[in-house]
Amino acid sequence: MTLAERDWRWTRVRAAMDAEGLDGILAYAPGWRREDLRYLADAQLRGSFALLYLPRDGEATAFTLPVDKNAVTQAGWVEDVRELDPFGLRAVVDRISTADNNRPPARIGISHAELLPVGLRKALEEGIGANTAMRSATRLMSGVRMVKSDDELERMRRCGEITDAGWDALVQALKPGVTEYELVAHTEARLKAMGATDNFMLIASGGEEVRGMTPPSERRLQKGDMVRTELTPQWDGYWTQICRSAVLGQASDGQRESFELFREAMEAGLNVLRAGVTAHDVAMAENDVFRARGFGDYCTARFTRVRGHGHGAHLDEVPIVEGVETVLERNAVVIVHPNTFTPLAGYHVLGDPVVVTDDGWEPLLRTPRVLFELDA
Amino acid sequence: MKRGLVAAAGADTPVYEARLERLREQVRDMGAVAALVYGDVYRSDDIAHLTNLCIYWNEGVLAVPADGPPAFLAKLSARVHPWMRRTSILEDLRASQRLPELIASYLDELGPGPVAFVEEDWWPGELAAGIEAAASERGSVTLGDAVRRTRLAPDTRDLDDLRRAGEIVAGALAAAESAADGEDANARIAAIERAARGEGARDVLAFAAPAAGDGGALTVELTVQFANVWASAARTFGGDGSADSALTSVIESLRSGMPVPDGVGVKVVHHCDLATAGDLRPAADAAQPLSDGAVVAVTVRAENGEVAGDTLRIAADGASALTIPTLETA
Repeated sequence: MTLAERDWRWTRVRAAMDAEGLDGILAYAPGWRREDLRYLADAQLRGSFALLYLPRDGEATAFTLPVDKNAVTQAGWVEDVRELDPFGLRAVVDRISTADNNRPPARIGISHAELLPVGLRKALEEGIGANTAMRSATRLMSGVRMVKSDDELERMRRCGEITDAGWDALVQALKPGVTEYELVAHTEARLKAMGATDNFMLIASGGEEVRGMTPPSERRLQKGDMVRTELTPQWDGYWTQICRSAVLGQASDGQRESFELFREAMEAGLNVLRAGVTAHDVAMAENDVFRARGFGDYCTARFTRVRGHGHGAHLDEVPIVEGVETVLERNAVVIVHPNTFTPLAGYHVLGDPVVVTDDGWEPLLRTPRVLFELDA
Repeated sequence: MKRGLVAAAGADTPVYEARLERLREQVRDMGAVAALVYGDVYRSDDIAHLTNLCIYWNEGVLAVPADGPPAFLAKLSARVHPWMRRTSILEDLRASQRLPELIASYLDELGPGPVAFVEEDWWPGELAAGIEAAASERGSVTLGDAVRRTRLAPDTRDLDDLRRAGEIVAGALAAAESAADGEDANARIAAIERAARGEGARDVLAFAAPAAGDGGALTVELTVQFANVWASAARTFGGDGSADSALTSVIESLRSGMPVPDGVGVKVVHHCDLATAGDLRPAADAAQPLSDGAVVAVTVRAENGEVAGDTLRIAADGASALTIPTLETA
C-alpha cells in the first residue's frame, strides 16, 4: 500500500493519542495478535513477537526478530527497523528513552499490554518505568482500526471473493464417507491456491445433537447430516468470514424451519445496520426474532457467544452483543451472524460480512443465503 | 491457526498420567501446592503434552496440583467444555471472565502453599500479576521450563507421533514439488495443505518465497503439527543444490554429546520449540550438547538464498532423518 495510506492511518492513531494525552504508542504483536503492528507497518510477520513504536511526532521504529526484518523493511512504511533478542528489549528501551528530543516521553500507551510477557514487561519497567508512565492502548487501537480506508476495503473485497471460493470448495467436497478433517484439507487447499495467508475455521457435522463448532474430528459424514462451518481466510493481512450450513440430502422439516429462523434473524440485523447504530442495536434486532418465536433463551451465553463481530486486520473485532454500545461508523466491516443452538435442528450458522454505509451496508460475499441441500 | 484434526486422547490416558506425575514430583519437591502452565492459541504445546487438550482459540491455564487431577481454567465459555472432555484427559474444567480470581479460588481449594509457575517469563504479565495479587498470601516459585525439558528427548508416544509427523512433512513436500513449475508459490502451498491436512495434520505452517538471485528457484519451509508434536523440513525447488550439500555436511557431523551446530546460515531447533521456530527457547540452550534421543530440526540457508532442512533424531552414532521418505525397493 502507498505512503499516503500509511499517513492516513498514522494520522488517525496520532489523533487518538492526542485525545488520550499520550506521547507515543508501543504496539506489541505476539504471534496470535499481530493486527496492530500490521496496521502500522503493513507487514506480514512470521516471528513469535515484534514491536513498533510510533511517537506523537517523528518517525516510527519497528523491532523484529531476524526472520521478520526484511518483511518490515520491504513493506516500506518504516525505515528504522531494528533486531531484538527475546529478553533484552535493549533496542526498544534505547529508542523510547530518547524519543522526545533525547528525553523519555512522559506517557505512552501499549497496545496488547495485557499480553506483554513477564520478561518483556520487566525489561520495559526497568528500562523506562522511572520516567515514563505506561498504560494500555489496546482499546485505542481497536477503535482506530474499526473504520477502514478505501485501500483496506479493497483488500477485504478480494478476501470476500476468496471466502466465497472456500465455501464452494467445501460444498464440492461434501459427500457421505468423507471425514471432517478431509473437508478442511480440501477447503484449505482452495484458499491457499488463491493466495490466502491464513484461515480460521470451525466445523461440525451431524444432527440436532450438535451444540457448537470445533476443530474437525475423524467423524465421517452421513446422509442427512447438516454440516455447519465458519471459515475465515486472511488475504494480504485482512480477514472475512462466511457462516453457512449444508445438508447431505434433502433437509428435514426441522432443518428448514431452523434455517428460516436464522435467515429472518440475520436479515433483521442487516435491516437496522447503518452508520451510527450501535452493536447493541444490531444484536437486539437479531435476538428479537428469536424471542418472538419463543427461542429467546438460545440467544444467551449458555448457548452462544456473539451475534456477529467486526472484521479487519483481526478476525474478531468489536463484538455484536446486546449491551455493547459501540457505535458502528461508516466503513466499519462487521459480520452479522445469529449463530446458536436451538432444538429445531441443533447448532445452526448463517452469516455474511458487510461494509457499513451511511444508509445501510455493502455485501462482501456473493454466496446465496440459502440452506444448501446436496445430492447424497 | 489450528484447524486440522483433533483426535481424542483415547487409550493414551496412562501416557498422559505418567507425564503429569513427573511434573507433580517436581511440584512436591519445591513444596508447592500446584504448577500453573499458561497456553494460548499460538503456543500451548506443554498443555497439549500433559493433557491432549488443543487450545484452538484464546488462552487458558492448566493447573497441576501436587496430588490430584489437573484442571483447565480459562475465559473460554463453558459451552466448549464437552468437546474438551471428549478430546482430552481433563475432567475438571472451569470458566470465568475474571481469570486471576478463578485461579486464586481454585488454589484455595488445594490448601496453603506457594504456587509454581512454568515458564513464568513468557506468561502475560498482567495475568501473572493478577494471580499473585489475588493469591498474595501464598507466594510463588518458578519451575522454569520444567515441562519442555521432559519433552526434549521424546517418550515412546511422542516418538511415534514424530515419525508420523515426519512422514506427513515428507509427503506434503513431495506433493509441493510435483504441484507446479517455477515460482508458483500458491499452487505449492495449496498442495502442501491438501496433503498434510488430508493425512491428519493438526496445524500447518508453510512459507514459500523466491530464493535470492535470478535463478528462478523457490524455497519452501514447512512445519507440521501432528497430534501434539511438530516436525519441520525445507526444500528449494529449481535450485543448484548448494543448500542440500551444506545440510548433508551438517547432518553427517551430528552426534549426541556434541554442541549444537551454530555455523553461519545453520539453525537448529528442538522439536519441542518448533511451534515458535525456536524464538522463545532459553538462551542457555545454545550451550547445551545434543542429548541422546533428542529430535531436532536443522535448517541450512546457503549464501545464494537456497534453503534445505530436515528433522532428525540424534544418537551416539549419528542422526537419522524423520522427514525423508523411505525408499521402497522393487
